Amino acid sequence: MAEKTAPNVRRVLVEFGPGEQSDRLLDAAARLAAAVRADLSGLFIEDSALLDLAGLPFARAVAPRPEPARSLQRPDMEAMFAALARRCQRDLEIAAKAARLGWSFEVLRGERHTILETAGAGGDFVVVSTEVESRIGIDPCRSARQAASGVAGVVVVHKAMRPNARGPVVILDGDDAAPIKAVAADLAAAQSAPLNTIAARTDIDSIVLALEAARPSFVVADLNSPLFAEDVSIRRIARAASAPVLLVRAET
Amino acid sequence: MAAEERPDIPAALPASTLRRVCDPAAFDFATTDELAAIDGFIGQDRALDAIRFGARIKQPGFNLFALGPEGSGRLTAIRAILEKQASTEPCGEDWVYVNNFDHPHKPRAIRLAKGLAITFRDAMVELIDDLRITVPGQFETDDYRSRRRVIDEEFEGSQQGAFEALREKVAAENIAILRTPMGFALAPLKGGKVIKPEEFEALPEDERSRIQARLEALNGELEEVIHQLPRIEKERRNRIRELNAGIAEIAIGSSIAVTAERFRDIAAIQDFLNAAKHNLIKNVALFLAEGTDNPESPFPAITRPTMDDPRFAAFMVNVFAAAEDDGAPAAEAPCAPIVHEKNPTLGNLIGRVEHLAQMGALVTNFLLIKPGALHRANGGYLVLDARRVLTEPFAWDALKRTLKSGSITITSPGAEVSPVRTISLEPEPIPADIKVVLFGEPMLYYLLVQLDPEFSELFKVQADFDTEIKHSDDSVRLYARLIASIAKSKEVRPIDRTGVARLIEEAIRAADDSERISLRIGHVADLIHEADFWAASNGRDTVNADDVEQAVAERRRRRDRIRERGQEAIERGTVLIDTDGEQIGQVNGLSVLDLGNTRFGRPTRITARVRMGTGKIVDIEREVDLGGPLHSKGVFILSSYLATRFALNRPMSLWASIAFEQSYGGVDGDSASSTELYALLSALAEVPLRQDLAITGSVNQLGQVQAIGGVNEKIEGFYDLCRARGLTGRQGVLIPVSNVKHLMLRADVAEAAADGRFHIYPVTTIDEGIALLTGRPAGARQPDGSYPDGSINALVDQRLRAFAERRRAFGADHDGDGREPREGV
Repeated sequence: MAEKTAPNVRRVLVEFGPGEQSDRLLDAAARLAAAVRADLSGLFIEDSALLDLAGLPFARAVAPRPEPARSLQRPDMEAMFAALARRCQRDLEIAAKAARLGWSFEVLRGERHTILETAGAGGDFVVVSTEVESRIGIDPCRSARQAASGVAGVVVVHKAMRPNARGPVVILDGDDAAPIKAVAADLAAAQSAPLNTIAARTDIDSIVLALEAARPSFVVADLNSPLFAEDVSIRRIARAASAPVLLVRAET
Repeated sequence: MAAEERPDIPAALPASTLRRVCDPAAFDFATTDELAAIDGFIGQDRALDAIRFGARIKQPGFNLFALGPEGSGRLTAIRAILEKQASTEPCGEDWVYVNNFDHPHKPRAIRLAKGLAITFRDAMVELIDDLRITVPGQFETDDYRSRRRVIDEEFEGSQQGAFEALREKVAAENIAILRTPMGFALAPLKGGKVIKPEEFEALPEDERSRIQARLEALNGELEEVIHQLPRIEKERRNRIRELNAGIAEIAIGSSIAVTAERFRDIAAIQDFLNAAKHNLIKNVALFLAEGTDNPESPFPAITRPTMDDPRFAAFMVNVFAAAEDDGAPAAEAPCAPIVHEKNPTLGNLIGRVEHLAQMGALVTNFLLIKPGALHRANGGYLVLDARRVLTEPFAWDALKRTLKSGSITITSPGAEVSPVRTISLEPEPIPADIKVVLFGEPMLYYLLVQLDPEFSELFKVQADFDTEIKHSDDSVRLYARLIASIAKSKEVRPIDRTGVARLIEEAIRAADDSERISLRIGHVADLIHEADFWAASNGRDTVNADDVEQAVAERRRRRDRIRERGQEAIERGTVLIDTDGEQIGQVNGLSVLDLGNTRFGRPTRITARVRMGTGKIVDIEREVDLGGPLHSKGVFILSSYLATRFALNRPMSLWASIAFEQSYGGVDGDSASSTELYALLSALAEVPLRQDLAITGSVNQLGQVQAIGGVNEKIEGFYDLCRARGLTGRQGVLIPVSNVKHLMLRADVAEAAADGRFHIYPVTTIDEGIALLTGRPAGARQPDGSYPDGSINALVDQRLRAFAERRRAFGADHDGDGREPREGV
């Protein structure tokens, strides 16, 4: 077994999108922060792209409901941002206090990808969702990988995740990366959960089958593993695990 | 001449007639240990036969009402007879309530053979236990996962595909799809960024129009893609549901088939299992949620027992098996159930639907239906205290409704009174096959007969418990055995023959009749307990007459405060009662005060005043509404006696008033009417009455003295006062001769009479009484219509004649008050 050298994680950063359910993200973030003894930090971005869009006279929003498109107005958008930010801050505070974690919350306005790239630092894990969306051509998984370039790792949370807090912590073991195993061990210890390993050298279908059978509480893997070269692989693994997938930069 | 020597004055009763003594020497046993316990009940043949008849007859409406006073042994008799009858009858059936999958608010009732309810309930628990293991297993197989993944990927691909296609299409036109808090929106791009409003305004007019038109066109396509997402998701869920149902049917169908085979002859269970099968298949997700119900819990998942798991409540069985009185399952009962419900509230009688508080709301389900006494007694007997049933809201109506309809319907008190119905359960009524036995006071029975027209139809058998038996050598011997039975059943010390004799004397006293013995077994049992206590205190191994005497005395002392206060008021002269000397128009009457658990006699001064008038006798008690109707009747009778005896041929020219002196409460009963008449005769004759005598007895229009109640207490009340002031040897009480047989005086009173210190005079007529009270003969009417000179009647006649003459002289059209004359006595 490789020597346990867990990355020195300062905080777990949750970026709240404009339409995401915060409970799944916060659940994963709080469990991870408690395990690695980091603070919980929230970031709500008032995306300037959306504010610009709301300033255009013909802007319309289509909701997934059988109703006509609604006109978008900048004052409405700003009010909506403010309300969402308040709700996200409240949810974050509740989650942090429940897990006895230090916490902070920040609202920033600007271009989202620019803020996101600079918000995370070497001591951060960033939590993102795989929910179907499009942010000016940036796929969430791709976005996660980009965000990870400056941080210790990224947690991908699938939209259909059903929490199973008592399931095992599973390592997708591509190599003997010590930081991955150390973080996984911390998670397992914090949750009093068993620690399982699935050999990541096998094909993606076999991994998917193994994850479905394991019903894990958390999956930990190497971000730089060839397994995640394609975005679809991250999605499939996250869906099969039905649990947060922590992609750690092994060189951290 | 002494009163006792004159033929017109009755002689005092000999002491032997004042108290029936039970001679211990007549018994051939030393203690009750030697007596065989009595097999059955004495003196209650009529009631016992009625209960036997009522228990055996099976026609509707032949329910029982056992009427008798408290302590008459009615409940013991009912239980004994019912237990014997029930042992010959088949056990009741079992009933269960199960969920009604079509109408969950109307749970279904299923009738099962005895003992099968538990089997069925356990079978359903076993079934669900099995399914909790086998069903998740079916969903863990690679085959299932593969099929599920194919569906998920197919639909996710479908969603993603449509979305990606549109995104690529709009991207080609430099347009992006953005997610906003309000939904998805199309945004024109410039340099890879959303075009700013000022940049857009700076564009040429035609360019702006072109972009706007294009976006509006594409918005339609975006709506089409976005709006189909829920439909696609719904299709996906349906496909997964179909897949799950197919998988579930394999596991659930085979397990249910095994259970159904165990109950193959019971159609209702087959129907239930069939409905349960469809519901389980439809809700197979219940089995897949194991261990994930509380992910926040810091503790490892603990699998709940199936019976306690709310997910599977709909498939459980609520057992309504008939039970014995102590609540034990009926399966253990060897015979038809007998249930005595001591607290017959509506819920305890017909069952109830209980609720659980969840998140501040009250919720319920068919498992919270609780059986009532009627359910537990179904197929057998239900014993109820009639008074309790009648005093519990809605209970009496519910009981009658059950007996009339032949089915037990559970309703809530709220539903009975509220005009607004809340949604609750309406359990299917259960057919009732119950014999109801009510017991209560006779008055209650007769009130129900009179006031409730349904009562007689529903309770056709009357078991009338007697309160006493005739005194005879045989009945005394039987009573001794009854005392022995009670002593043994209550596990008290053996009672020796003197104790038994003393107890029987108390039972005679309780009957208020020296020729009868009380059958109020409860009272005897209480006295035995108290005597046993005093025997223990006195360090005796057996209870004897002294212990019984002490028990009686202590009991009397405990209850004697009010009597003592009353007598004290007389002794201190606050209440005026003479016990010596003579007075005109003044006499000692006797009344009885009944306080429920004790009663005692109390002397009362009664006075009469007369003058000329028009025949009116004023009953002062009645004038101020303190006299009851029976008292008024007595006064009218004595008025009639006077009028017909002395004023046959002339106007009754009398005005008289009669008063109970220092009486501030109500007066009723006619037992003082002879006393009032003596006072009136004394006032008219102007002859004084002896104050060392007290009188009780009612009078009829012929001047005959009639029996009254409470004769013993009345005599003892006057005796106690005289003894406190000192017995003179002349004091005594006049009682109706017809009350002599009721005499069962305290031993000390009887002893005083035996020593000549106190006297009891049996009086047959008013003439006898007035002679005794005045020492003068009353005087019999002579052939010429007059009375012998010097006699009381002659003096009365003369006085009335004088009134009449004075009235004539005064003016027949005026009475003494100057008013016009009126008819009346």
